[in-house]
Amino acid sequence: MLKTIEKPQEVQVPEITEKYPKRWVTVEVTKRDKYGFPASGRVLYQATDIDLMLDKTKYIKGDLYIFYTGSIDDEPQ
Amino acid sequence: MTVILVKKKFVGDATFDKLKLWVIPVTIKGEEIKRDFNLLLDTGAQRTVILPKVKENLDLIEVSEKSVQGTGVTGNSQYSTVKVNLEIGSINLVDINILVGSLPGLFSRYQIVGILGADVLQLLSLKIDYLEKLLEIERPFVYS
Repeated sequence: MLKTIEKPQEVQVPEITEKYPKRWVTVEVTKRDKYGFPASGRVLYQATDIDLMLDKTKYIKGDLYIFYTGSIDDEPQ
Repeated sequence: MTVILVKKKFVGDATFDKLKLWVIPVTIKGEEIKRDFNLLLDTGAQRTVILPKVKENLDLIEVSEKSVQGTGVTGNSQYSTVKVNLEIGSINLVDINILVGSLPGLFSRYQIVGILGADVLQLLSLKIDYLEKLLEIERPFVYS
């Protein structure tokens, strides 16, 4: 299931992983750290399935960061 | 010689804490679209591979119709090739040919969309500090 986040707030990446555990998230990056890695952003979508997420974000413009928030060996939900 | 150095700390990283694996954000740039995806750093993999869905998401075009045969733990797979620019933090890698196909072996069951293999890593200097949970990546440049 894919869920659109209404009125997303700017949060730091570690907060995103806490707020959306074991989820795929799409984040609009608003800030990068001094080395160029995503540091903060707005969560646009969260999903349990990567395929749904990639389909949904195909035509979305912007600086997007798509990642899984849990441990990569988590069982699919 | 000039060196670009990036550092990434893995404190509080669920994958590192559980598996001691390094998963890092990599910007993949096609013709028009660029996105950050987490790729598994795998010094044991010869080639960098992304899933076909990522190729579709970034609207990447295959550089040749010739497919590459790869042998993984689970059997043979066919791979196509795309040319992309990669950014690892502020390190830019231009015109890199990477493979598109299913991920090998156990990785196919992981919640990842790609692996960063030796074809890319050989361009970099890596310092892996498990005790400090710190990954340092250098990109040396020699100006002629």
